[in-house]
Amino acid sequence: MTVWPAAWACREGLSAIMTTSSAATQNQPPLTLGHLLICTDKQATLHLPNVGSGLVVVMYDRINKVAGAAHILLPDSNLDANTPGNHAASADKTPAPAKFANLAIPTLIQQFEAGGGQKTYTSVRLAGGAQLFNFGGGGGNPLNIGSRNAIAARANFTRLGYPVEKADIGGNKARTLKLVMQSGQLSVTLLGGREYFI
Amino acid sequence: MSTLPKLTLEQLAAQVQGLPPLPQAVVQVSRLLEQEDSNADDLAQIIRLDPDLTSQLLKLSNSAYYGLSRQIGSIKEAVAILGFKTIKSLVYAILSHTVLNRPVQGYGLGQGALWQNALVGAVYSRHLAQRYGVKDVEAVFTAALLRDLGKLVLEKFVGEAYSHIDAFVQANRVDFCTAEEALLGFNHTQLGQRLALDWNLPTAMALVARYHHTPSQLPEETTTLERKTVCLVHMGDVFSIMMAQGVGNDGLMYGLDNDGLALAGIKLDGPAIEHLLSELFDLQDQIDSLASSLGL
Repeated sequence: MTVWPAAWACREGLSAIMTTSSAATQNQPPLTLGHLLICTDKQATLHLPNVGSGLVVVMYDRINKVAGAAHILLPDSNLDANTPGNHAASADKTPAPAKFANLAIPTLIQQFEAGGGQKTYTSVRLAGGAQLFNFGGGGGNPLNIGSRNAIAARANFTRLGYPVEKADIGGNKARTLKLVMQSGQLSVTLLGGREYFI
Repeated sequence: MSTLPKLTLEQLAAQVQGLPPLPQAVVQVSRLLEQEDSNADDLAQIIRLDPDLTSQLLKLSNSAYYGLSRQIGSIKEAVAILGFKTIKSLVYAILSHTVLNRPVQGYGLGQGALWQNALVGAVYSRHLAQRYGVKDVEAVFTAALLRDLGKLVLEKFVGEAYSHIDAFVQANRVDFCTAEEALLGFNHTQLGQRLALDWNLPTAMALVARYHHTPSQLPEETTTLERKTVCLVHMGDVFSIMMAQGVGNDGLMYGLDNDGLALAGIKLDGPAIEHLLSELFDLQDQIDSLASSLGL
């Protein structure tokens, strides 16, 4: 597998396998919506900022010190084709690797394992899915993308043999996540709110 | 919670006075753009007098966003190729960048974050305008750019009262604006409208600044086009917040105003929201290109 320097590889639609040099660690780009990264640098701290309605999934192998993360936008790439005028902007584009949960999670697992991650030692955690208020919309909340993403992520991970251990979903504040590679500690900071660990 | 003192007009006026002045060249051009009898030659002539504005406009015109096959070398050429309306929206993008590209600590926004949210929401609004059949999509883009202008005035007070505002939102399940007004006496949309009017910005900008969170509260006499513009900016704003593009401490403490959208003939259900999110997400490369041309 290609080993990409930290740079912006994860923005180019390629999974960034971070090198172990300290320079690469310092230059680690933030994980942006729709993208994924794999990290094998045990000295690194991964910054996963600006999580709104999207969902961040984090895989971490506590023995081999390998992590994989994806910032997912939507649960399923099979959007309802009957919605008028749908998908005009992206009809001829390859979707970003983590845009949809059903495509992101198999790719993430494959690259995580290629980077040295082993199922036996791996935990999976989910965070994100904040939600706006739905004023005057009647029953249900069409804005609950976050909980739909979480359901899709759990189903895909379970299907592929990686049950989700912990999840921190919902609320109405954006989140910033931080993963310490050495310890596997995953902190969640709510913008304007407290920090806690999952 | 109820013991917070309400803000006085003097306190707010002091905040407004503390804002840096608008760049005069850009203001002159924007006023010319609002005159019905202005033409491309007048516009090119005035812009040419300001080297900074000229260079910024040429940089933007040549950005990948417009995907032109050849380099534009002069303002006259830019107006001829991109058109008067597009140049107008670029002038307002430069104006908005000047006004908004600063830290807004009271809302937890670092340098550039308010501007990022403004630009992303404007690009989304323009895309939605195309999607919903609006003829002048550039007007919707322009109207969206300064929708959160009022945050510049209110940020100091929001920062001081943040824990109270947050608690009010959570306890009463109301949006952040409602809580601002209940606790401080004003919300950022009211102040944005006031500032837009004081600065002689276009009427649509002032209307959007006031009602972009609550299109259902638009005055009855609002024209159909104005209502649609405000609704499209409301949607662009909602989607930019959902994708946490330049979002601060007020986070997702806003709402989708379905009643307001219904008055403009727009209905959003779950599948429609997913489709729109998918489409808007794919505009990121275009946004990056515009932002880098503006030095973000």
